[in-house]
Amino acid sequence: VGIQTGSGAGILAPRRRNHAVWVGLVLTFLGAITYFTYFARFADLRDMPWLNLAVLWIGVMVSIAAVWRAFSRSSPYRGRILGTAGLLLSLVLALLFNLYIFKFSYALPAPTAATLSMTAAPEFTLSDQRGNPVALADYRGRKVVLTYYRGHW
Amino acid sequence: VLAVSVDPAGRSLDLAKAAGLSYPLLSDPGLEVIDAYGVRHEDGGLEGDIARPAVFILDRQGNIVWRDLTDNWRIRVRPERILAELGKVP
Repeated sequence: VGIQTGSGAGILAPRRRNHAVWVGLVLTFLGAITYFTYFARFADLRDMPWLNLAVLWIGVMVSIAAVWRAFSRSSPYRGRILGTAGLLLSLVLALLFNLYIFKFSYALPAPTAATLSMTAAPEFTLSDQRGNPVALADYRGRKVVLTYYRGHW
Repeated sequence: VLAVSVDPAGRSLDLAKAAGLSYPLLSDPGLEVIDAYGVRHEDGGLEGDIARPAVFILDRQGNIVWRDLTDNWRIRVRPERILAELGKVP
C-alpha cells in the first residue's frame, strides 16, 4: 500500500528552521524602536509605554522559547548558536529600554527651593528664532506661559 | 507663550518651521535666564548644560502663579492642564 518512511526526527534528518529566533528578536527590536519613532507622540503611551513594553517582553519570551526548543532533547529545530545570540541581544535591548523608561529619564536635578517658591518672575530680554529681541516686560498686562525646554530637537 | 532653550536662533527657526510654532523660541546660550529661574540641568545635553523642562504661568502683573517642574524628561505637563490653569488666572 504505502511506503513506510522514517519518523523524521532521526539523527541524520535535516532539522527545521527555527523561525522563533528571528520573530523574537524582531519583536523586541520593534518594541523598543517604535517608542521613539512613533508611539511617544501619544501622551498616554509616552508617559506609560505599556504597548511598547508588552511587545518588547513578548519578543524576549519568544527568544527564550526559540532557545528552549533548539536545545530540547532530540529537537527538530536548528538555531542553537543563532538562537542564543538572539536571546542575548533581545535581553540587552529589553534591559536598555527598561532602564531608559524607568531610570534614565528621571535623571533630572531636583528643582531648587527658590524655583519652587519665587513669585516675581525674573525679567529678561532674549533673541527669538528670527533674531528679534523679546522682553518679558513687553507682556505686562497679558497672561504668559513661559516654558523651558531641552533643545537639540 | 514664550519658550526658552540653549539652542541658537537657526536651530529654533528650524524647529518652529518643522512644528508649525508661531510663538517666540528664545535663545539663552549663556544660560543667564535659565539660571535666574533655577532650571539649569548640568551636563543634561550632548553639548553640555541645558534647561530642564519647566513651565511657568505668569499673571498680568508678571507674578508666577503656577509652575510644573517634571521629574522625568519624557513626561511633560499636558496642554489641557496648562489651559485649565490659565483659565484660573484673572
